[in-house]
Amino acid sequence: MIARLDQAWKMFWFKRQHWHPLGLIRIVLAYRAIKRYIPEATGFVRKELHVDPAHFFDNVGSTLAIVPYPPSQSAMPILTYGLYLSALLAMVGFFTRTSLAILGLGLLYAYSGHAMRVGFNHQNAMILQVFLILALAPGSKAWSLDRLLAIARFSWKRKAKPLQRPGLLRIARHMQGPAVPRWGLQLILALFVVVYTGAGVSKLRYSGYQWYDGQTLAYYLDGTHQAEKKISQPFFADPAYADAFPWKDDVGLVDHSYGNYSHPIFKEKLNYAWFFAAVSIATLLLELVAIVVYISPEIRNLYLLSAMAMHLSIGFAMNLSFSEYRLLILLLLSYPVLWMQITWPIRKLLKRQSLTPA
Amino acid sequence: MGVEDFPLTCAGMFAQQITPQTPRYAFQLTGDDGLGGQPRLVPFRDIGASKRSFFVHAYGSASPNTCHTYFYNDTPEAFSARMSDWLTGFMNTWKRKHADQEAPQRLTLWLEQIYPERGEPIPVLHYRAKDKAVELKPKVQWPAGLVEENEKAED
Repeated sequence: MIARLDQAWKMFWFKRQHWHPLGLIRIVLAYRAIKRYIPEATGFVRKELHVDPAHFFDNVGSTLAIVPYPPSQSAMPILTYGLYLSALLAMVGFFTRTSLAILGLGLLYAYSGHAMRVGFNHQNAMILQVFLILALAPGSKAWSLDRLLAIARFSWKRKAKPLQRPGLLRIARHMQGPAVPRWGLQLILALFVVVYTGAGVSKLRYSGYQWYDGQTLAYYLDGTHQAEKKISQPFFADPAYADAFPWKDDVGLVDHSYGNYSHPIFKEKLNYAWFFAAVSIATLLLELVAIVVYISPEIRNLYLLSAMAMHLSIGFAMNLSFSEYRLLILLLLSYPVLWMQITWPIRKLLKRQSLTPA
Repeated sequence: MGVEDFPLTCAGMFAQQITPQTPRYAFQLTGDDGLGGQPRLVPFRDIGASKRSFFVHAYGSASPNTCHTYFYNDTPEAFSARMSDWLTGFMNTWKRKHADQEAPQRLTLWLEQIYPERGEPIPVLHYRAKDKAVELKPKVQWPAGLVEENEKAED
């Protein structure tokens, strides 16, 4: 039994994969870093340059990044150009792992400073962890300049000509590289599993089974939370804790609420308790079963597409796009398997027709 | 476990139970010269700080059932020290950013009920810039004629 478990554990992390998406993830996210993450992150840091260092509180990110926050004005060009250069090199795949590590740590530094004083950016927290995983994971050099140079070096040393008959598939095989242990992909999926499961568990942990009743969702969607429009950041209280710290306040302030947009349809046409309860239960179930992504590529696809539908719904209802989660979902789908899933009814129909006697 | 610490998250967004009956409040910060002069609003956003961050890192939740910070065994002394640190950082930053303006010598933090009905802001503390001292629950009233800080709620 233990031997089988041990074998399953090893297979889970170290089973070799040839056609993995790590190269594609690296290229797309590094490009995205140039277009979005770096301007955003350095913009945050630039705004914080004048802030008294005493106003920052340590977090895991700042501790890992080591460099004190905020940086000096003179260090800003180093941070900015260093990030752009590392993203460019990560994208083309030159000094790939070093570039990914610098990019991941640089973004960790910039965003953790923002998290100390302003807010926690959940999407970018996940993306920068993906960069750090890619910096170490086997297979992230797929489709890189490093790989191309390695092929050329190998050919020159052996006087071999691997690309002598350069068919497209042959070139693709070389650029993809050898089969590698799949722990990189499993770890990136783990980020999703932890965040989604955490979201489900948090709802149960902080609200108990009451979250099922849909009142919280109704609060954020039917316009109740906007009753006090233009009021600066509301906080909510639980009168049960009014006496918890009587020297602080007598109201029992518990946490902040959100000031999201809500689509008018939820106030005008779908303002039913049963509707909000049904959506709450569906959301909770989807979040709690995230671990099914590891069962098979087919189930992973189904789960990720369901998560995509959830994010698109949230985008429509609350104008919270979760664009980076959606991008990662698109990169993690198994497209050959998806093609088989989509064409399955057609193939079945054709097979039935071919078996039908003329 | 269960507390957000960048970049690690327990994804507690929208997880706290809120109903239409849940009372809601807003922080207000005013500043004056400490000598009886007319107080004025000192918006948090003046120095780019968020009220969420203030709550998470300095104020703390009254309930341990939160994915943000709950200070176990909190005491008036520990709370005052946190408030003093945060408001000192706030004032230092404010002075750097508004070098051409006269800085307030005393800050007052208020908590105002905004739902289910609007209430008169209640004073939480005074902070004196001179010696960084904090006085909890001072006996003062919201300055007549001062309009509360209105800004868009953070998403």
